Amino acid sequence: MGYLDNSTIVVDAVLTKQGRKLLALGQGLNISYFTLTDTGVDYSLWNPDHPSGSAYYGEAIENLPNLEALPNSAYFMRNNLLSYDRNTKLMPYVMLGTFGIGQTASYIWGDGQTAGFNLTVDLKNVTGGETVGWQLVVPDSTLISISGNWTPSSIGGNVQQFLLEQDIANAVVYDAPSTTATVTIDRVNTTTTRTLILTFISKSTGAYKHFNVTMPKYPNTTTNT
Amino acid sequence: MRIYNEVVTIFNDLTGQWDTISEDSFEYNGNDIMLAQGLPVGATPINDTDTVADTVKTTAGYFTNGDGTLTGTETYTGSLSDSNEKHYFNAVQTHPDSSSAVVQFSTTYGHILGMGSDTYGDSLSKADNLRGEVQSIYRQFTSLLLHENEQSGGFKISQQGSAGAIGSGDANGGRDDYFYALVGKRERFKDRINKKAWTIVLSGSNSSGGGTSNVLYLTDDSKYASSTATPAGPRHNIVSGALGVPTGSSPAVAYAHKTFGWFYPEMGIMLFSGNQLSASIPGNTAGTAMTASFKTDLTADKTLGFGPNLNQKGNSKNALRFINCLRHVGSGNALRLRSEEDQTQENYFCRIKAADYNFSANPTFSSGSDNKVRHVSMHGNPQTFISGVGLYNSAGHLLAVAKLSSPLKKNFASEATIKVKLTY
Repeated sequence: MGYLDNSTIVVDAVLTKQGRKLLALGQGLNISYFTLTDTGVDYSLWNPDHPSGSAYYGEAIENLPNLEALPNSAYFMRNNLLSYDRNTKLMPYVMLGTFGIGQTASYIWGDGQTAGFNLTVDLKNVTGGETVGWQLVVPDSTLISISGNWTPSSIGGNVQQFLLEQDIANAVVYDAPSTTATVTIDRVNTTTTRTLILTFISKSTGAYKHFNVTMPKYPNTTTNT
Repeated sequence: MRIYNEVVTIFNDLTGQWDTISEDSFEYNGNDIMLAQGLPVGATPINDTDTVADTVKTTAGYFTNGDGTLTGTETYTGSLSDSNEKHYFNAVQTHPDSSSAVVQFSTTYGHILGMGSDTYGDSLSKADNLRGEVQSIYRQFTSLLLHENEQSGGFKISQQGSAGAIGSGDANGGRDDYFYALVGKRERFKDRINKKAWTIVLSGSNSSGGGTSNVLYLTDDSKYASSTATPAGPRHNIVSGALGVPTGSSPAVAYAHKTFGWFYPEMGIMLFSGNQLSASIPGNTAGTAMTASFKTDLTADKTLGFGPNLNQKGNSKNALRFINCLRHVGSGNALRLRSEEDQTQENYFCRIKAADYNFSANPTFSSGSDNKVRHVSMHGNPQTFISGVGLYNSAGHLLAVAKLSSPLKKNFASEATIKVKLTY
C-alpha cells in the first residue's frame, strides 16, 4: 500500500501589462475568472502507436518543459481549452464566404476598383450556428470601413489579448448579433498597396478565422512602392 | 495618461529625496471604451472561498549577495567627497579599490552644539559663529525621529537606564549631547531591518589605550519589551546582548538597566548614545584631541573608541570611530543583519472539473476539411494538455498568467486543482 498523492499543483503567476496598469492606477485586481490554455502543445505529437500502450500516447507532450511565464505572457494565451459534450468529434469552425477550414480566406481589390464587397459569416459544426454573436477584429480601422449589422466595441474577452497588450492605436473590434450573416467591407484610397488581416470570432465557441484583404494603391497615379 | 512599466530610483543623500535614474514608460492615448469587455469563452468563476490572500514576510541577509554577516576585516570605508565626509562615512564590504566594493551602510555622528565640526568659521572667539555639520546632523535626526514636543530637548537615550551614562537629573535634563548612528541602505534592508535577528560587535580600547577587553555585543530587546510608537515607526531599545536576547537574568527590563541606543527598524536606523558607547569603549584619552582616520591595522590607533574629539575648528571625523570599532573586531562577525520585506501573496485555487476543458481551439487538435478531432483514439475520449492558466477580472481583462512546468494531461476521467500563486 502506497501513499495517495494529495498534492496540489502550485504555479507562480506573473502580472500582465494590463494587470500592472490596473495596480498603477490604484485599482484592485479583483481576479474572478480563469481560463486554461494549451499554447505550445502540438497534438501531432500524440502517438497512438506508442509501443508502451495508451498511457504513453501523450508522453512526448507531457515531458516537454514549458517556457517560463513573462510579463508579456498574454502571447501564451492564444489557444483556449474548451468544454463540449464528450462525444463531440467535429470541432466548431468559422466559414467566411466559400472559405472553410484549411483554406486561406482572402479578397484582393482589382486595379481601379473601389467598391466594397459583402462577405458571409457562418459557424459550422454547431447545430443552429452561432448563438451568442460575432466579433470582428480590424487591426487598422483607418484603411477599411465596416458596415452592416456591426458596431464598434472593445478589445478583450474573446479577442486575442495580444492586441490589447500591444496598444495598437487604430485597432477596433466590431460586434454583431448572432443573427448576422454578412458583413460589408469598404476600402479607402491608399498611395501604396496595403494588406490587412481581419479576424472573425465566434463568441459562443471561441472559434476564429482570419481573412486577408489586399488593397492595391488607388487612385493609380503614383508609383507603387 | 502615462503608464510606467519600470522606474529605477536612487536615494540622494544630499537632498534626502529619491532621484529617478531611468524609467520605462509610455503615453497611453487609447480610447477608454476599448478597455471594457466581456469574458472569454468558457471562463470559469473563481469563488471567494478559492481565493486566499496573505502577506508573507521574507527575510534575507542584509549584505551584498545576501550575506548575513560582515566581519571586521571585511569592513572598509568607501570613497566619498570631502563635503560629504563632514556629515557621514560609507562602509563597504571589501577594499574600496575593488570593483565589487558596494556601500553597505553609512555611519554618522551628531552633536547638539556642533562639537566635532567647524563652528568658529572666520571668528577667532565666537564658538557658535557657524552651525557645524554635526549640529545639522543632530537636528536632522531629532526632526526625523522625535515627536514635535521632544525635538528641542534632543535625544534622551542613556537616561532611561539606572546604570546609564547620563542621569535624568543632570544639567541638560538627561540629554544625550552627541550620538553615533548606523544608517542602513534602503535597497539592502528592503522594507525594514529584521528585528530580533541582529548583533553588532564593537571593539575598542580603554582610556589608557589597552583594548582587548573593551568589546560590546549589542542587539534589540523587541523579543521581550514592546515597542514605543514614534513618528518614525516603532522604536526598540538597543541593549547588551546578541540575536535579540539581552544579557542578564531580566531580559524584559534590560533597557531599564542600560540602554545603548534606539533602533528604528522601519527607518533602517540604529541610533547610539555617544555617552553610553564612550563609557564602555572610550578609546585612548589622547585620541580625543585627534582627528579620526580609517586604518586597516588599528593596533596602535588612539582614536579607537567613542570618546569624541570635540574640537570646533575643523572636521574631527568622529563618525569614523564607529567604523574603526567594527573593523577592530577582526576576523569575527562585526555585524549580523537581515533585511525584511513584505510580499503580498494571493493564492487562487483553480478547480478544473472532469467535464471541463477537454477540447481545444489549438489548430493542431483537429484536422481535415470538417475540422474533426485529429486522433481517432481521442473520439469519445478527448485529451488535452494544460500548459498555462490565465486569470481575468470580471471585465474580461487578462491580468495574470501562470505557466506549468510541463503540460498537464486532462480528460473526462480526471480533475485537477491548480493553485496559482501571485506575489506582488
